[in-house]
Amino acid sequence: MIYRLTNRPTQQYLFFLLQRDGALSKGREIGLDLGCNRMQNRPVFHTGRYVGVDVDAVALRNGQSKYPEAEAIHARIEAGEQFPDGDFVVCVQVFAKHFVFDKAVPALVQVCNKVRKGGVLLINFGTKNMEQIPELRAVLAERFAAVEEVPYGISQKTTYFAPLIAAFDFFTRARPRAVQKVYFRAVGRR
Amino acid sequence: MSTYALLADGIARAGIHHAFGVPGSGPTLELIHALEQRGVRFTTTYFEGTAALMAGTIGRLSGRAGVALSIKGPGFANLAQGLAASWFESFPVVALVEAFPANVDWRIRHKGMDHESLARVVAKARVPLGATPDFARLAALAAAEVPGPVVAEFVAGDASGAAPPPGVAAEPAAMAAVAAAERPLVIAGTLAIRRGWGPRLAALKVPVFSTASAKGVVDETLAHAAGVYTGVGLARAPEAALLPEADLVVGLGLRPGEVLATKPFACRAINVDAVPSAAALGFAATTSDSDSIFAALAPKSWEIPRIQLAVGKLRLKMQSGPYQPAHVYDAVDRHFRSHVRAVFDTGYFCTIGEHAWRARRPDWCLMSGNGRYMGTGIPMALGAAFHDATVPTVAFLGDGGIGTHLAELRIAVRNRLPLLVVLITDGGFGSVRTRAIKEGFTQAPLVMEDASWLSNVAAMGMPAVRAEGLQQFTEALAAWQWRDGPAYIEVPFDPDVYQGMVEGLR
Repeated sequence: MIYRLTNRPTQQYLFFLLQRDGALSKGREIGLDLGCNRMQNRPVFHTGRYVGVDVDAVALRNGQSKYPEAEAIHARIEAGEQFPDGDFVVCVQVFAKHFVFDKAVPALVQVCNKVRKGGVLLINFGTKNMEQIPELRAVLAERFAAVEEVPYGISQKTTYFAPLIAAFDFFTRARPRAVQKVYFRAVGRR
Repeated sequence: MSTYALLADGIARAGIHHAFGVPGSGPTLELIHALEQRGVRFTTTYFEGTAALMAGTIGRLSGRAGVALSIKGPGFANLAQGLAASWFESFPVVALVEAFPANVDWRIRHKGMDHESLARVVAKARVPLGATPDFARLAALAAAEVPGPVVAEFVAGDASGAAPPPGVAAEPAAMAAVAAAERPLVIAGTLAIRRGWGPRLAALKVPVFSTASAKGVVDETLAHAAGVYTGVGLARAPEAALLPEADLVVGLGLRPGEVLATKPFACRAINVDAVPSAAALGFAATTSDSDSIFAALAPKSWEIPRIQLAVGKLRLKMQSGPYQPAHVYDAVDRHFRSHVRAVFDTGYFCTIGEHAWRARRPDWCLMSGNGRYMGTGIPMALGAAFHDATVPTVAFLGDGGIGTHLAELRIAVRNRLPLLVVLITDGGFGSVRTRAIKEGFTQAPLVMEDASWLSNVAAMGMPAVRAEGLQQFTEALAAWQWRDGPAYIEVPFDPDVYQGMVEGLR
């Protein structure tokens, strides 16, 4: 069952990755969704608690109306003292929009600090982060026991065939034609 | 047609737009007159050495030998400083020098000096211009491998005696080595710039280093760009992480003069070059057949994350620490959205800069990567700004190098060159001081009581500010309208932080 569909192939590819790695949240206590918007990624989390963090209060209220059990925290993701540390942390829509150039590395360090020991971080970087990827990778490699990365970027154009295109690339592991994004799965916070 | 007219015609025909030097009242003045009649602009410098290096820099950037001139004796002695720097950096330059006729004993003449001996150590050839000078031939001689200065004297004679160096034939052993390699690694020297191999390097999937003087030959923002190779990189340098994992080093014009240590590699190594390779680098084979080598390298690949991790760890370290020059370089790159040329003088700030600055193009990054020649920053930056004023040039200088050619900044003011001079100051000779601290030697000669040049630069007509910290630096940068002419920003650093920033690098 596909939890989320979109008409953008590249975005759909990310959702497939999240769906795959959501399994890592099973049996974990706190799931932290940083930049959760309307909590569309809630189905990915199989944690005991789900905590959504976003700066958009309206989006949070919308999310909670759909997922009443979800905990919503109105905060910037760098305000780490306002929300708990997580065992399973997802941050997939924030960096390329808000943390570019010299802000990317410090922001990633703060995100990593919100991952409990042994925890998992799923994080996504976009076009505007591409030049910082070596440093961002180094931050993750220093803090996690295993880091897997998936460069991707099929097409930003909208099409109703997006799920099919993304599924083809996802299951055939066809390499993306032009890398615009990099998704990291970091496991085993040191 | 006069000798000067012939020579000026040849220079103009070669597409040269600028010549530099300090004129005398003899042949140089007549030549300058002839040049100006043909649209070649002559710029008088305050010191002949500056002229030679400005011309050499234009030679490096344009691929065509630059032109500098001087009078005989003391003029040539001064010129020799810039020729020496150009010789170290393999910059092609034709130095047109006044001289005594061959049948005159220089020992008994005013301004008499042994040009032959001086030229021998700073130039690849010394030739007479003769009555019918052939500039195209002189320029070709300067640009031929290995490029460098050619001294052409205003005396009668025949220049045809100067022969190009021997070439290298294709060698099958080099091809076989690449074909057999599973994890080859490339180190590109400046030959790769001159041969235009950048796009071919960009298409590879194996780690590509460049020497410091070839920085930018592969776009350093590409995933497989591994940064600068020096031969002496310590644990934090990408070369220390990646070379032990390679089973073959492929040098592209890799020469002893372009690295800081000449020693054989731990793994097998071959070189692609136009001249015979130095035995000291231990190459198993040398070939001139670059096409075959690139074709054999094309299917080879490394894990890109492995390469990027080595580069990223170093960058992370430089960015995460206390305020240091790497932050300034990042701010400059961001401010100009990478549309900027960087020129580095020599010092610790350059040791950092050669790794921290990500060069997109080889003509947008200059340094004395071979000679590590302190004081070359201003002439190189001026030459670059004359060569191409459509992109801002930022010259990063240190306390040791700023004074050497400081007066020449008036040329930048007079010509409203798009030049920003950034003095990275820790108040002394940081790199030399390291040893003094370690060995307990005197530090007195290495520390400057007043390292500021603010008032001096301002007096020359350049807007000058001191920026304490990154915020002020960013504001000063934003205030500079590069199309309006040059400016100067002085950026002080904590001497102790400055000392620590190169730790583990080399």
